[in-house]
Amino acid sequence: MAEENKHPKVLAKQAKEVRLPTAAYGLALSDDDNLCHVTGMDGGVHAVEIQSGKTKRIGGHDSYAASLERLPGSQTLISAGYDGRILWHDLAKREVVRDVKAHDFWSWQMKVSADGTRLASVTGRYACGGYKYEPAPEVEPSVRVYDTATGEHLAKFPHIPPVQSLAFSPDNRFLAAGNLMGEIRVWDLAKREQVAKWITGSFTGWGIIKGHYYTGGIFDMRFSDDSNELLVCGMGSTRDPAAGNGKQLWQRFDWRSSPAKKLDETHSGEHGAGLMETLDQHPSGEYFVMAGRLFKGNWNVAFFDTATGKLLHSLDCGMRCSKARFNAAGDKLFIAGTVSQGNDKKKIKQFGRLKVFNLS
Amino acid sequence: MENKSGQAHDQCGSPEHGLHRRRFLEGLGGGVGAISAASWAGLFSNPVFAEQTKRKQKRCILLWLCGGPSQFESWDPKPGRITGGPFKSIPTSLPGYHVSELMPNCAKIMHKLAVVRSMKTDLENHNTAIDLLNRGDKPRPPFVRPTLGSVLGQQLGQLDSPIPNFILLDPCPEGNEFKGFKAGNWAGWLGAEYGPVRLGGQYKLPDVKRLPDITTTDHEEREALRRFIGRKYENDRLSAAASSQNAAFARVKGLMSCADLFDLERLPQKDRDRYGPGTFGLHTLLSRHLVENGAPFVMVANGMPWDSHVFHNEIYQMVIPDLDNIIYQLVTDLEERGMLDDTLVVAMGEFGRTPGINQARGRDHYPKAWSMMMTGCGIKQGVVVGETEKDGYEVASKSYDERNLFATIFTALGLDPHREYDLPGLPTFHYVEEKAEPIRELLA
Amino acid sequence: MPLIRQLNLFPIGQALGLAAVALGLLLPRLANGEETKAMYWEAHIRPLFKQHCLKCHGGAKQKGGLDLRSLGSTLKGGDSGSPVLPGNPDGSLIYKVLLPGADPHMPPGEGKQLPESDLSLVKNWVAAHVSPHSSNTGSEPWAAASPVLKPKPLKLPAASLPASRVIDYLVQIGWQKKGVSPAKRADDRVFLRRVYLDLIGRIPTPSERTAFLADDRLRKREALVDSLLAHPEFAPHMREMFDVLLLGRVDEGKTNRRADNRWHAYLETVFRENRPWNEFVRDIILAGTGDGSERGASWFLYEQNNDHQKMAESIAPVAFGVDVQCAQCHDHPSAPEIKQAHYWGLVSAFNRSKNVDTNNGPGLTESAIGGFISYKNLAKVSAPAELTFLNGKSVSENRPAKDTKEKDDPAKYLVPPGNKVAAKPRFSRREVLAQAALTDNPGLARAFVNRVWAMLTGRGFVHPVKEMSSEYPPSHPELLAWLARDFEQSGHDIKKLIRDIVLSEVYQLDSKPSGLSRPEPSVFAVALEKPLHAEVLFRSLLVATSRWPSESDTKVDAAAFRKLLLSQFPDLFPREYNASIQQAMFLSNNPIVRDMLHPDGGSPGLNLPSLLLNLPGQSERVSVAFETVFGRPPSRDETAMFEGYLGRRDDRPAKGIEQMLWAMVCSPEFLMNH
Repeated sequence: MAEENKHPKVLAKQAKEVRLPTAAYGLALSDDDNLCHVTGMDGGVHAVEIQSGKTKRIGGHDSYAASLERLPGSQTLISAGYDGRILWHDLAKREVVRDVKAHDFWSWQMKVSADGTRLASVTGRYACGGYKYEPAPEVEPSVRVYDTATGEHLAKFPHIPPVQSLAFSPDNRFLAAGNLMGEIRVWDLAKREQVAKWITGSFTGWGIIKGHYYTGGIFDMRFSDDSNELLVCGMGSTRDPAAGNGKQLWQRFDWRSSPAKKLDETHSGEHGAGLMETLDQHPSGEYFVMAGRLFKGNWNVAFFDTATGKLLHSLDCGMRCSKARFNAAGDKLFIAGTVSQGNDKKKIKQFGRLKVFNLS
Repeated sequence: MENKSGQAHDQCGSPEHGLHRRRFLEGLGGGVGAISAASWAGLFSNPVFAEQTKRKQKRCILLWLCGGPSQFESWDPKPGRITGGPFKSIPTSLPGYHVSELMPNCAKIMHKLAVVRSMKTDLENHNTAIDLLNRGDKPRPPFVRPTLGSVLGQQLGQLDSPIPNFILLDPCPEGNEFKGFKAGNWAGWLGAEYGPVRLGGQYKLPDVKRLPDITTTDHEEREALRRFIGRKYENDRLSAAASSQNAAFARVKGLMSCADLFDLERLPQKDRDRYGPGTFGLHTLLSRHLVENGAPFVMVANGMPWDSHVFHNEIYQMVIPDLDNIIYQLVTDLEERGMLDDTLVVAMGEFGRTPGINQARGRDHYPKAWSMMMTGCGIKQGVVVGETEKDGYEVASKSYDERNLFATIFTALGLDPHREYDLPGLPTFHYVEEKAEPIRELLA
Repeated sequence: MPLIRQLNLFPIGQALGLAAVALGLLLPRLANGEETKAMYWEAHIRPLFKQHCLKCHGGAKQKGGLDLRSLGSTLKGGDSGSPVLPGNPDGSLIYKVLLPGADPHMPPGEGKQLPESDLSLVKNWVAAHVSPHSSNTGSEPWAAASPVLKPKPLKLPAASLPASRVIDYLVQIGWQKKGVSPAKRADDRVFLRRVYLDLIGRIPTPSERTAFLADDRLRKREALVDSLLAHPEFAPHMREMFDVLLLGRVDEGKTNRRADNRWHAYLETVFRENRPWNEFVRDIILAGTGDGSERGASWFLYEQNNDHQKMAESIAPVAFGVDVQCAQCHDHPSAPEIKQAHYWGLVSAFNRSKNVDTNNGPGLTESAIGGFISYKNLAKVSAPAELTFLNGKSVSENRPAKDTKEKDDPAKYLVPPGNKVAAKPRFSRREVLAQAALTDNPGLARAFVNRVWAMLTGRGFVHPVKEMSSEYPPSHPELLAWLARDFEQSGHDIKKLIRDIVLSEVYQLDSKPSGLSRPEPSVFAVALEKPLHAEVLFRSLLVATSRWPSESDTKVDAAAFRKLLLSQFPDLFPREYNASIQQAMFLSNNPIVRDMLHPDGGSPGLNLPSLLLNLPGQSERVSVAFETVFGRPPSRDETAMFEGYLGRRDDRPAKGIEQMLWAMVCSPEFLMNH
């Protein structure tokens, strides 16, 4: 049909699967498609050689390491973990060259700005703040910004914990952060002030069925190329979040309007249920990927047309996806994730996964 | 041994024998025909029962952590191990014993608490496990073993006390399997009057105040008239429904007289601030208030928030510190009021959680090795019983099951765990079967 | 034969027995030995296995290939052959592994040892209660290893016999077997109240009672039943109950939506016009949006809001009589014929469907493509969901290759998709399901018969009602089978089924047992008590206070009262009746209850309390109250007690009346259907 011709075509086929000793949470690609790095549940930063499947631990945190970023144009990786620390790893010197204790609590997510000059990390422990277990206010700044070159602390911003995800705008001017309750704040980095704030209730569930607390929230965010829109993902709200059965959901907002306007979200009939943890945009800008867990439905990795939000292609890769990243050439998709750890003490599994897909 | 086919003893456990028992009690009170509703006084004056009331009142608060709380994030952390999760452990006031970093308050008062880390039970489904850990033994149909609250309510309760013997506070009306359990038969072969009075989600009981245009005497005599007219119906049919209704109406007067006790608004704001603001804390405060005023057994639940198959760490970072504070406030308050020696506090769920994280960021059910906490009446303070191996997959010392646990609870409260239920028509059942031993190290 | 209704049941039974023999009826007569063996398994061994063994030898997994869920599969054995050598327990694996110190030992695990008593049971069983032939399934109606719900062929009474008499005969056989004496026949007052409550959902008014008692026709009970089945209140009462049974209790808002979207009207039409039950089931599955007879039926699926699992779970008890929730994650733990594949097969039947708001109201649009899902069992083994159903029916589809996308095409549709259109594909999965449910599916009739029997007598042949699997064999397998066949052959005639049951002598037994003890409920030798649920209680209270049929009253807000009753007495046919203290408190202290019972000093004709206040003497007050509320005169003791009560309140007669009425409506005689 004529309509179909207007949409980009994408097809992903799994080319390689590497088993990792631990669940993989953070993922950073390199210029070499055969080498990447992951951070793991063991706190470690691991180098992964794709073809051989060999892994090597090159350093780590005292607790889960959730985020990993490459400083563009350098041999430096930056990781952040649940120990609240941000580490700079110099791959050439093979050592940690900087160690900054950013938070008392976890770094939920850390990202580096497009121009590589800044990094930001978000934190916050969910604590009981009300009769209905609404989150208590922050006890430390929820958002911190650092200079990637010097490690200097540049700014801090308030939010309501737990703040689970963040994003820098491609024009390097803005920083956004989203939390458990679906509240998103955007700050102007130069002026150090908040420029937008709104709440989307679509990602947060209050456990009517099993437990009277909140779960879900925003798990990943991404600005559009022109920095005017914000794409966020997570799990749709449900009365039984303990079952993990909320919609596989993304929403896109025009954040500059006041109030922010929701432009689009996962189209009806194009999704199942399960938590979506990661977003990435194809270098061509034509489509983006969202990945996570398949609770019900057909897929846990799906590709959507950037312009229309239509589902283009989807697949079930058989694991929980925590990070999806396109390579620079746009012909491969890397996904870091995990399967169940298992409970057999005699058979300790390699339960982390890195999968590489060829795109066509 | 009991007849499993239920054929020859089809009256056992039936409402019929309950009826006989009630007639027995009524007979002591002053005649079946008496209209007066002051039958409590009649019973109380009987020498057989006066004995019981002389016993110094013991009480029990059960913090029912439904869903199965994770031992890794509480009493048995394994920091740095692949099963340990992201949280560290901290030292406690007990040298050599660490708890999860999420429990700093309990760490401070560990020398007043007792923990069992070597619990090992059989059942990993909520339905059967909730039943198991509430009744203390596996089912033996058609007989229904009474729950802990029903047994202790009966044993510890005083006949002339208006406050209900067994109170269940649970503000979460849903709760899947727990909801199903709540709708079931709590009192079993003890009879419907030993079931719990259930409240939750609101502090005031609805319909608890006598309407202004009826006198207390009329209110009572009206109930006596109701009983009178139901008597023939009940006897002619050996009606289970009638006896269930009588049990419910019989408790109205008592509950009305102590209605204010259930009104949390009457407690000082600073107390509510200490325990709260969440519902579990506020209801625990209410339980302290109720036992202070004579309630022998209060069970506090809050739905099944511990059942973290999904988002385990995300939830536990909130619920454990909340529980930590609640236990701290409760134990400290009881001690300050001189009540800790007579009040047993039990905090447990129906199993623990898996060492391995599953594919949905969660921990699943794990009855093979789990932990629970007790303190108070009859329990030695500052004791940690048993341990698991370094990754928490298995118990590495002598393990204990639900029978040992119940034997411990009964013994701590001064009750003989191996004595038989003395009910006419019931086959031989003991409070704890097969002479299962209490956990000796826990007993003071 | 005018004496029939006076006769005690036994002579009738005997007469029928003779007739049966004369007609050459052959009923399955198990030889005494066979019977005991089957019962031994059922009463002792099966529960033992269920408690201790099924986790590893049941629905979720079968270690060593051994499935202990049924007698047949146990005898069949697994990798080690049959574990049972009949007559030789010491040589039988099933017994040997249980002994202390055995290797391997069952149950496995440290410290696990079955008690002596259980060991004796197993030993006894193997020694004396197992037949050498593996076909000894005794009272088990299901073939052990069969994946399909197929009842073993039973010898049934002839189809041409009148149903009520077949009921009486087959139930009576059960009494004889158990050595139980039935209750006497309910007298007219008792019968009247019971059948009014069951069929039109309220107690009779005094004038309705007077008319019935005065009726001296021979077959007046039959005439009464027929008039109630044709009564304008019959259909709404049935609708109230089936609405809750099918879709559950919901709040006021949702209930109103059900009414607004014609679901209630549709249900009432089914009962009022006595539409065949199987057509109803087809209607709710097909969820059409035409203007025809099925209008409103689409709400059944529409309300479930595209939750295909919920749809599967809601249709299974109706179409197959079983609750399939347990089979979501693994084969049913204790009923071998219910498999995970069946659960997901049902889900697949619905998952191409989606709610759509058509110009003709809510409907469901179905896609011609898609909906190919997989499901995982506990071992994380994945399987594709296919259209396979509990009665053995299955339909294969062409599953698209992995990673290929099916192309949708208007040619695939009878009604192509479009805006506000309920699309109908040429190959419709929902139609496949409807077809499977309605043809060669004995479960449909059995489920409905069991349900209606339970509603009327207080207990199903299979109890719990929604568990018609091999795990819960029926108390009267021949009767259930006969009634189900009769139901099918009658064209799924709902009113006929109700009528047949209600006109049996079994239904008309009194609720007072004949002896000193109460026989087990499953023997149906005495009428069972059934609690009044909210709607019925509401109407009955209006009748009892002489307000019926008018609901308007100066003092009582009837709508508010009904709403409160709905929240206090929501349970419909609870498995176990538990009066709650909340209910007792509500009745004792809520002002609206008082207002219902308090004379309002206004016009005495409006309601009973006011009428009583205007009567001259205590004795009259008591007798009129009893007649209106209970439908009977008071006994001498009751008269004395009540007159005394009122007498002591001479100074506040209105309160006396209110309290007297309270004691009456809060007594079991009023709150129960008996």
